[in-house]
Amino acid sequence: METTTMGAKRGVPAVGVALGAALFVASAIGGQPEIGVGMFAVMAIYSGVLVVFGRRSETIAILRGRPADERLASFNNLATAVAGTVAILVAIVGFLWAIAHGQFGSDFAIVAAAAGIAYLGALLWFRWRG
Amino acid sequence: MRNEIRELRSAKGLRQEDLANALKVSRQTINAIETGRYLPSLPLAIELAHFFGKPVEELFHGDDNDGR
Repeated sequence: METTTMGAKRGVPAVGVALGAALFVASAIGGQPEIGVGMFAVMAIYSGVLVVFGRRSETIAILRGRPADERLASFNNLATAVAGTVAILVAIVGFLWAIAHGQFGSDFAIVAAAAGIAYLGALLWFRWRG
Repeated sequence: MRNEIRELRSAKGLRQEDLANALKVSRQTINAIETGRYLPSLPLAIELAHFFGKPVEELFHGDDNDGR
């Protein structure tokens, strides 16, 4: 009987490297390839740490998307919820800060709106699935 | 929610690590279940029940004052 929810994110280190490559390409297109190299290096090192230490540390295994059991998987879910909540709060506070400084704050508004729509969509989805 | 996992494990002469290996979970998870800090999923609770050869309701007990 399967008692864990792991397995859905086995490509996390690969995604990290791919994201690093995307950061490099975007930086190069923006005329700042040296910054792109730095960002790629950071992502590559991060991905390497996930691969090398993923079997030695439960925390790194969670970061790698391979929690050892359901309890550790639940930590990942809780941490994701906390991170999402903080991101939404930052977006809302940033939006208010921008408006208070005479700016439109559209960047923050887009993030907050995307988070709100994603939350509502997920809520409806899970409710529909029952 | 209280449970009898520690008592049943001790009666079998098993360490937390032995039970963890048998159920393919971490030793810390067994400790968290035994101390009531973590309530296992239904599949894991059933695995525990099968392991000890007892029905789930003999392993886990609702608190008397939980209102349910």
